[in-house]
Amino acid sequence: MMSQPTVPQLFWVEVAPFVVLCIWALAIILADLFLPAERRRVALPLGFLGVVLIAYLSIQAFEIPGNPFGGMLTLDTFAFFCIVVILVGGGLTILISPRYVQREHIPHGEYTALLLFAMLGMILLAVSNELITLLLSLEILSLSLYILTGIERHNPRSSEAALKYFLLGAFSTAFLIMGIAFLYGATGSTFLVTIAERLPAAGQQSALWVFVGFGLILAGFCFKLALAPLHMWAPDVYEGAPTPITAFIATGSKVAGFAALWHVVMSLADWQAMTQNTFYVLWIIAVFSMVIGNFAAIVQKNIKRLLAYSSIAHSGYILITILVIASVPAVRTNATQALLYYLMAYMLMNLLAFGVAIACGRKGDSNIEHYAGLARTSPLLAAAMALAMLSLTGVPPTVGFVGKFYIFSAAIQAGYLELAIIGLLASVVSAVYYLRVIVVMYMHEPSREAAETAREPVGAANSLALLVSSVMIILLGIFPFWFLGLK
Amino acid sequence: MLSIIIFLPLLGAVILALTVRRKESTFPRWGSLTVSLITFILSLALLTRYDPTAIGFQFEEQCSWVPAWGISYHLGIDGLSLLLVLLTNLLTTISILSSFTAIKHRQKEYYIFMLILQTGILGTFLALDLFLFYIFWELMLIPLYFLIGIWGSADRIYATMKFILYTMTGSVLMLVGILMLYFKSVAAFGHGTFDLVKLYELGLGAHEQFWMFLALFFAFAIKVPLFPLHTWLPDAHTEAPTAGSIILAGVLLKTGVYGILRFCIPLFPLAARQLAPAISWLAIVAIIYGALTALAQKDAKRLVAYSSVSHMGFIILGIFAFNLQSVSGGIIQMINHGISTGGLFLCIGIIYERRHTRLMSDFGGLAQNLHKYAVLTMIIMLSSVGLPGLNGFIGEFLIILGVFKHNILYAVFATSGVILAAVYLLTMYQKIFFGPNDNPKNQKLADLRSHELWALIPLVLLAFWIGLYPKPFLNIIEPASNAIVQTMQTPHTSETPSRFMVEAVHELPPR
Repeated sequence: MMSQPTVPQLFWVEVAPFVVLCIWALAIILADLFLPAERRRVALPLGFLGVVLIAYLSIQAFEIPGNPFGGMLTLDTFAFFCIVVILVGGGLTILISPRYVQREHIPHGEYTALLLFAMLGMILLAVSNELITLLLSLEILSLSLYILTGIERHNPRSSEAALKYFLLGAFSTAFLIMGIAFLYGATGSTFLVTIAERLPAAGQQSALWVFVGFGLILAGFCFKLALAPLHMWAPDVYEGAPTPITAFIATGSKVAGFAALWHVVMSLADWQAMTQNTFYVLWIIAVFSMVIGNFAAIVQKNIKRLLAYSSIAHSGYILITILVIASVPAVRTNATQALLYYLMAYMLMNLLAFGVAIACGRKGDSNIEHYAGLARTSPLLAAAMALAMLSLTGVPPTVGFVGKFYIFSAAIQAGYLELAIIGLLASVVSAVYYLRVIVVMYMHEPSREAAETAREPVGAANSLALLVSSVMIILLGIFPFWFLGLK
Repeated sequence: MLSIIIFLPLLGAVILALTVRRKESTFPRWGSLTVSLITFILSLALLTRYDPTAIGFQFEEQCSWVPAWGISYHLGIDGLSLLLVLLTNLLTTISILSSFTAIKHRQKEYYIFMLILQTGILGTFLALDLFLFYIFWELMLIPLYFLIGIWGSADRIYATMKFILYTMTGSVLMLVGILMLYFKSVAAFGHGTFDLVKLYELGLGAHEQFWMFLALFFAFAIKVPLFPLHTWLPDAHTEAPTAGSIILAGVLLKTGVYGILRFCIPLFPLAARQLAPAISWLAIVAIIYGALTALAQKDAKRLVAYSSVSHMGFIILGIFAFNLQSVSGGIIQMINHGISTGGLFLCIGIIYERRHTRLMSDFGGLAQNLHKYAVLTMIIMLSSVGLPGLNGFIGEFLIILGVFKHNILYAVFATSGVILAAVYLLTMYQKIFFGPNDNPKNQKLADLRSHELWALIPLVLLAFWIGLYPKPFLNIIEPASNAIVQTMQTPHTSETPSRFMVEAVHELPPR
């Protein structure tokens, strides 16, 4: 396991995306220090350039599957797709940021650099194959996001959100560390592969420790992924954080979290004693998340809170795939594909929704009522938001539909018929609040104030992001295999 | 050919969306009318090239779409879908025509949604792949959601939400059913398929069929709508703009029946047989309940909406009697209901546009000054009642004939629905058109304008055509209904179907 790489150049290629991303982020901070104030706006474009570069380097790195850093990282197809999703999400997040950053006077350099650090944590999380690496990646990600949440210093809501996020996040990290300690105690290793190898030989006592450890790790992940019943932080944090950051928390950190959870579950899934016990817990969490998320979202008046509850529900849908992977080996490939596809779908729809929210948001206000008559005042933005909402509801021919179709077909194939029915009915409930946004935009008259005051222009970068995600939502909805056929 | 028919309206919608900028432009209405008219003409061309004697689907188009899941883009047409496609295109053209003066704001969006709706409905009728079918099935919800929600009357948002939540609940259960079926095909063929023609060959056990039948039937029953799932319909019909009501009643409800005929019965014949008595009784309740509720309405549009519940109950009853006359009657009654109820909504829409009220008590004596309108409305109303010589009679007669052979009790109850229909519809006509014209607002109403006349005339002509000479229609329907009857293997299968058909036609009154 600990074999040293013998070809240094190959080694470099394998770790290049991570190292370069780290250096790039540091360079942006430094550049920000030396640039005159009026030039500092260049940070965001530089950040975007960095994402493109990392995308290129990642494709190089994943040419050959490998395990750099002595097997702590694993470059496999699953990780590759996760990284693709994360980079697409990161790129789009940077694209939707400029106006907002400008409007709220957020320092460009710090903002971009922290965003890149968060992204680094995410892509490391997607490839980490060892528990300590996993923990560290998660912390890189979380710390960056804590700061980004509170980066609007003049806004008390932002600070409140950051504090809440930090305190609860630190608490959940403690769970995670404790869980890792239990797993290490039971098996004597932090490498997931080694843990999987040693599990069958574990005695009665060790087995108990593994259960406890897994339970604690799961609790940690439930927090990070905003799964019920540990979802309470999400609405407040989503509401208080700067909108592009909310988008990034809602999408990127979920993708990375599910990727890591997948790694952990995969290492435990083949152990005979585990399968019977894990699935029931996951089943309950999934149902709770879908039901609580969807019902609580109905009464929300703020678009960010609404999307927060909707993201809880979507985490519930995605957890179904993890459940299937953990408990039914025969459906594992399908469920993994469903997971990846849904992560991509989820990323696109949410970024589109948040992108529109940024484009038509006013300072410090994201009440849904302000979208009244948006279809009259800015038809294209309204159409984009409608598309996002329909996709989140799961109406064909959008990516959201294919994603749900994929997840629930995996669930039915694995024999979780009741779960599929609950999930699908929950998604009918979700139609109530997603379509209400459309009702407000299309069926309410614009307020006089809104009709008279011209909106500020959307901006080229944000328009591009909205266009790209809209087109991808439809194209991937009609040709689902464009994404999964990548590799 | 079929693809062109399906996607031509969508193309029109896209072009409309990209080109028109000016608010007052008349291009959207003329453009969309042209597109839907061309689509209608294309479907007529389809009719001339269609071979009614051939068995199975015609004009099939198939290409692989998502090979890993066994999804293909598969279209095809048979007698059943052919008539429904024609009906869809005719009614869409008519409803676009009827919107010329009725829709005054946000015209461009309105016509875009109308055209997308047309694409969705046509796709639903022509798809032979369950996945593709589901996509079109959902696709047609969205434009209608907007049509009711934006251009409807006072309570439109409540109505449109109710409509979409009802239908979505049905849809997701249908999705579960489709997926269960898919995994049965994985087990049977080794590779999964959504292709309907292949799935027909799947021999399923009675127990498996039962649940899948229910899952699919639930979705279709909401659309039909079958009692007790009908409560969305009066709201949606009443609040929708005229064109929306025409399409809803005329075509959309038929997608439910179509689904039952195309999917539920052929895929799950054992379950269909097992559940037929329960469904028939629900249909009978719908017939009588719908009629009695219609009798109590003050709002003309609501009255016609409840009459739809009653009439659709007839169709379901006919289909689940599983003999040639009743099934053929059910199918032709689908067309008839589209013509008469679509026509009635059109008539009410015309008067609503002038007076902005639908309450029957606000009218009276209109026959004195609106001559053309009164005559045409009367013909359409009588066709809905089922007067011999008009289309409604053919369908109801065939259904009752078939049901009588199947179960006398059912037939007795069903017949009472026919009588009640005459009561509520004639009462409605009387309240609106006869009596003194004492409301000053009604005394200066203008008679039909040319575009309204042109919208009504095709319906009236069709009503007479089907009523007096239904043979061409029955010829097209016969193979389709015969296939259903054969699937169900009723005791009548020993007799040749065509003889039955001839008998049925001969039992009609002399022309």
